[in-house]
Amino acid sequence: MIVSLSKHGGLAAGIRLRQPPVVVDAKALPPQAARDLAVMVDAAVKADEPAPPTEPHPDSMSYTITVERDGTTVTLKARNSAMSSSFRELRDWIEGHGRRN
Amino acid sequence: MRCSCINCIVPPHILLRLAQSEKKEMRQIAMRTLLTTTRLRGQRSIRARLTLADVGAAQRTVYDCRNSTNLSEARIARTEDGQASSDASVNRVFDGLGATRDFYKEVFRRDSIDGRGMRLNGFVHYDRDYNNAFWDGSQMVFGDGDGVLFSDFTGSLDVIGHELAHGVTESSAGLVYHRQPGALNESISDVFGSLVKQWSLKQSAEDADWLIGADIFTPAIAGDALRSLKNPGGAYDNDDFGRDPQPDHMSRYEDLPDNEEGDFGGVHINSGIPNKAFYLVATDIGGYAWEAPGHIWYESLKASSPTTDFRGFAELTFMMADRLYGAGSREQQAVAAAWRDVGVRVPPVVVRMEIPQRARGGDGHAQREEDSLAALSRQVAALAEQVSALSREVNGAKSRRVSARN
Ligand SMILES: [Zn+2]
Repeated sequence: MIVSLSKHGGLAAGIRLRQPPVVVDAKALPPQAARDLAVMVDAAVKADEPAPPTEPHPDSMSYTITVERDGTTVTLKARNSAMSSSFRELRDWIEGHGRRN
Repeated sequence: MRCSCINCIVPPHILLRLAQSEKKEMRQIAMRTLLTTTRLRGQRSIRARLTLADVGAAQRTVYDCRNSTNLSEARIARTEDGQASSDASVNRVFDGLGATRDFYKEVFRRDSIDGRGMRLNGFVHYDRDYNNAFWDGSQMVFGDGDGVLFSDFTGSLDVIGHELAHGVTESSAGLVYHRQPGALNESISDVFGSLVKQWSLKQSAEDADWLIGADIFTPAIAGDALRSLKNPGGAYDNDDFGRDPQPDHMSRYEDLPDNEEGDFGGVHINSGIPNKAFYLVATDIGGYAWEAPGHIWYESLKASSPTTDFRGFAELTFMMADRLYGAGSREQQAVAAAWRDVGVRVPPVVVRMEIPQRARGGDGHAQREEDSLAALSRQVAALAEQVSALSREVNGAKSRRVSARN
């Protein structure tokens, strides 16, 4: 399983536009960390609902988490104004464990 | 009465000469234009006096999110009449809201962000390691930064002014946050954010740094700031962030996708173009940028619509420079030159003037008198006298109101 996190927008959007995503490869993790990640991914996928099509707030940020698992890719999106706690937990975990290529 | 319309843009000194022309039609055109200009200036000075009183008492409240992203859980940290906090971020936002509120009141006679005394709410310590500040449609939210790349986003007064200006735009032009109108929205926030800082430091256009967020990079990051109005594209260039991607000319406009990944068509990228135009106007006119340049931009913002693009805004600034300072004035010339220098063409603005045509052989005596320069001077003088009489009346009413209160 490969999980990646991209951030968009915000006051520093110009900097974010060119930054590569933060990536975690479960194969490279210790077994317990890999199991933790799988649980968090499942929770975030379960909590995912399509955000209502609202106009963006100036300088607000949004996030995309991409999960590649068993030959399929799932994309999760969230904005600051609408983010499940599961998404936030996964976002922070990737940020803490991943690396920029 | 039948009217004939003519299109023209003429500087005042030429109008005065035209008023003495041998051609009757020329004399009439010049006289009517001079009268209209005098009337407009009078209206503006009276309006300014009328709205001076009772402006700018908007209440401030600063909340502490305690690293949550749920604003409804935030705790009140400082109120308008409360004591200073032991938290420096809280006090910086409180003071920044005050400076911005006072700037709009003193410079533009605007009562808070919406012009109607709207309460000013700021939220600090939003989320964890949050590298951002934003306007959520009714209030400002600030992150602490991750401490590695960015420090506290409350650190720069121009950033606080930037976020509040989004509120001003939302309650005036309502510029959509996509493509050119979105980039104009961003530019307006950079311009007025920078003006708040310049005004509070009493800096001239020459002395100002024209930077946005000069204090939010950590010392480890090489670079001046997030953006530079003076030098779009030159705010930073380092291994962590790459090079500042802002263009300073239409030939380098970035056509990005209109979605979150593309910054809604590069609203934070292409804002460099109108940013540079404002900087050029301000340094060309010289002195304090919140004076003539700020007023031209502010009036143009109020006259904009949700879909105004760069060219539409450029035309408005050109028209407002005429209305505020006169056709062919130094201010208007600076506006035209600045937009031309960033590759936005400003076509000559069409001024429609209606000239009543009298039936031939009408009142010959009255016609001759109206044609004469003496009659014109009398009309201008009478109008100026009406304006100053009205000013005296307004001042009298205001002082009566003040003494009635005491
Ligand atoms: Zn902004």
